[in-house]
Amino acid sequence: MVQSSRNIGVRGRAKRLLRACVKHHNLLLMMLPALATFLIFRYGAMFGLAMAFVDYKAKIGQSFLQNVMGSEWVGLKYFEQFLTSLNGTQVLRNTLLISLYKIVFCFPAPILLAIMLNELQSIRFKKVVQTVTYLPHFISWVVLAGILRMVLSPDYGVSVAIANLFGTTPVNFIGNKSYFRGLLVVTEIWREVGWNSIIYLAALTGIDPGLYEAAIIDGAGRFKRIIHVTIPCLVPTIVIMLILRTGTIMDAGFDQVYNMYNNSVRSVAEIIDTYIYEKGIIDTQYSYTTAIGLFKSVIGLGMVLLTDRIAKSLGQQGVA
Amino acid sequence: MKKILALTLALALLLCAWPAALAEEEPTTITWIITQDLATNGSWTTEHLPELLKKYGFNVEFEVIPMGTHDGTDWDNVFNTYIASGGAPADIIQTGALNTNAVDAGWFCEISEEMIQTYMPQYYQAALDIYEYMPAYFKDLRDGTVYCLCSWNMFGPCRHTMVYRQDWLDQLGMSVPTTIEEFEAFLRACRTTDFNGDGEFNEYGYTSGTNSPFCGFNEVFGAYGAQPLVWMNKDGQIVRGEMTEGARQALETLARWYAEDLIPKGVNTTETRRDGFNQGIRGSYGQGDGYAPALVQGGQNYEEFYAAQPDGEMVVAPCFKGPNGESGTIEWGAKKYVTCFGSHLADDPEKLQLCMEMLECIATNEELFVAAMLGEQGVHWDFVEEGATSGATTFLGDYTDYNYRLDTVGVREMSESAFCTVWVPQVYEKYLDPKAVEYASYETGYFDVIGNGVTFDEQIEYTTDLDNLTKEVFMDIITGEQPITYYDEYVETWKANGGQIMTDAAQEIFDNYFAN
Repeated sequence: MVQSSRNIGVRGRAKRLLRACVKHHNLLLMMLPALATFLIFRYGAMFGLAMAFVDYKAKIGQSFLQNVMGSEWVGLKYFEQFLTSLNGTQVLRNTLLISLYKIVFCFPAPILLAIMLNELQSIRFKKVVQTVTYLPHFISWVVLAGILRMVLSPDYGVSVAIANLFGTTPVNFIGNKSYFRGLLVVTEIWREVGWNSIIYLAALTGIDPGLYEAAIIDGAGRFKRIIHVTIPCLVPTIVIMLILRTGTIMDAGFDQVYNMYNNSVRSVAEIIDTYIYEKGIIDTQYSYTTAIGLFKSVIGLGMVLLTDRIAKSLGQQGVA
Repeated sequence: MKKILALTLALALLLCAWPAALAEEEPTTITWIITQDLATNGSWTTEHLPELLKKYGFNVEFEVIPMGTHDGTDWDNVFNTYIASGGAPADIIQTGALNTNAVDAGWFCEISEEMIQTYMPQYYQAALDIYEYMPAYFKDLRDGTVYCLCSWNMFGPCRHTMVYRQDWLDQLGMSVPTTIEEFEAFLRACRTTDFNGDGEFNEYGYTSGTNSPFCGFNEVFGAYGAQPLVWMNKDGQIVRGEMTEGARQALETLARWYAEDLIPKGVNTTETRRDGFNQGIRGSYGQGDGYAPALVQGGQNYEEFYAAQPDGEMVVAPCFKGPNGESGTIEWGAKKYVTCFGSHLADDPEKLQLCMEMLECIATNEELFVAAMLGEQGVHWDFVEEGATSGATTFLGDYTDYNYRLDTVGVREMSESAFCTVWVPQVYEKYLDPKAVEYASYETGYFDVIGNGVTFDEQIEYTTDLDNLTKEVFMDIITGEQPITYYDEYVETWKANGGQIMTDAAQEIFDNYFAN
């Protein structure tokens, strides 16, 4: 009898699901391409990770699957090779440091900008500032790096004119190890601060005006309202964004670094992504670079889970 | 009578039908992968060369596999992706050097020196005459299997030299520097003279660039008998140029020049040799830009300079000599590109033979050679001297534009052709500019004794990391970030991180293929 009612329950749920599917078939159809893309390019591609554990040798006329299956199993050889290689620890350190600098300095910048924009009274001025700060986002790093080289050239750039004005020697910012990571952070802020502030501006519009009115009645000034109303209301958004950003801690910005670095700063600038490009695409060491890519992804996943756990333990909503 | 008439009619019909039958015969499609996409489907040579080949008994048509753009880096990316994916090759594959990854992937058909000798006798003999070790480049140096034909530069293994601002030298009352001391005096004089009169004194006599081949400053290294990142033969011992005492001495000189502001501060970031020269703020250039055919009238560098500096004057000269009388700049060596055949041709020996004989025909037949190398005379190109039948050539009208020419005609310049992948001096010598030949004779130069672009497993594994290390350390020493004593530490690091393994492997290859 119990069994029978359970079966009816399952059947009932299945019927409801079917009815829902029929009712919302248009929506499901619209979702299908995205779902297929995700399955093929996100999950299907995961099979390629097997390359990290074999000495991948492509053979003409064979499928990728056949090539992988036909290659010699080498276990963790390439992971070990990366961590003990001349550049392994160096690129790992650079990636983490550059990413950390960007989290520390670039992550708060759009929050500050959004709060400042929110406090502006003049709508016209606010729009002008927003447009001006968004614009660099639409210029590619190839172009931006070219402009930066010209501007910061120690021989004929704008920096020479500025140095001459102050009677000092021009600094070779792009070619100096001491300045290069700082330059990456500053240029990243310049390019992305406006664009990244959009999500916070959207969050700000959702704050209940009643909270501000209550704060005013309580005698809170503008600064106090920011501290006690605006920021606490932004915290859930900030936490989500921080968790997502931490998940990409091993992505230190391929486009930016690849277009800006040079031989003089390689030891402080080479990151995992540029190294993978050089060793994988140029040197065709596919298994080695797949191992590096997998290593990078595992660290990223670990960081997401860790940050999520920390966020939840602090009473915030996580992502998982 | 009726019988005779019938016989005549039958014979006439047969004679009429025979050429028609020939014309109707399906041409053999030959697919190509061409280095840097020098020609594309639809370009003039792709369409017209097969027409011309019919006159010589080759009923073929060409199909080019698109590889991206005319940019070399992009081409390599596409090529490497093809290899990784197990993609199918073409019948004829032209690359910079024999790609060992492609060999391992089974791309290429094994051939033999006997086959080359049989099907391409004139080419084979010319290759031997040009460089005695040329057949080594036919082979996979790991096991000696023959996979390819190779071309060579028509101007010889060494064809780069120095270019100076003659008007600057005149203004300074100096002649072209012949020694490194004279060169330094020239650099010093350039720093105290405002040649362009803008009051900024931003002129430098010499620079290297971020676009420099290898480590840059190749003439300075050459003056000390060293060429970094190149395998050199020192009395039978193979050594990388950056590991030699000459490299250390050159670094000391360059560091001193940098400290004394004789070379620009932006050598590691913003300098581009030829641009600075053309802008009138740099007094000389060399390295990859001092390419002899580009320095003569009609050549790219010559025309660019006089377009930018109509009142200026450039002079081409040999490189300055170092303390031991050594001189020269980086060279690409005897080998130029290689031509391989798709592995499927192993099962189709007739087509393989057809391809080889066709390449021999294009190389040795002047009409075909000219069409493949330059296009149509009077339309795409002509001799510089009006009415000449030999000597310097120049492209005409819109075809002077490099990319336009590649897209529409499918030719680049003498010594760079899509479908004429090998050649013989009896045909090409007639079309060389004598002035460029003279410039190319200035230097004995330095080139990789193993071969430019030639790779072996140890080199593939270690070279990128080690070369990056070298470039950074050298730039650190030049710019004063590190003292010259840092060089000794670097040598140990280099050897301990695969450099010694790589050197041993290079020595073995040299002993096997180039020593005797």
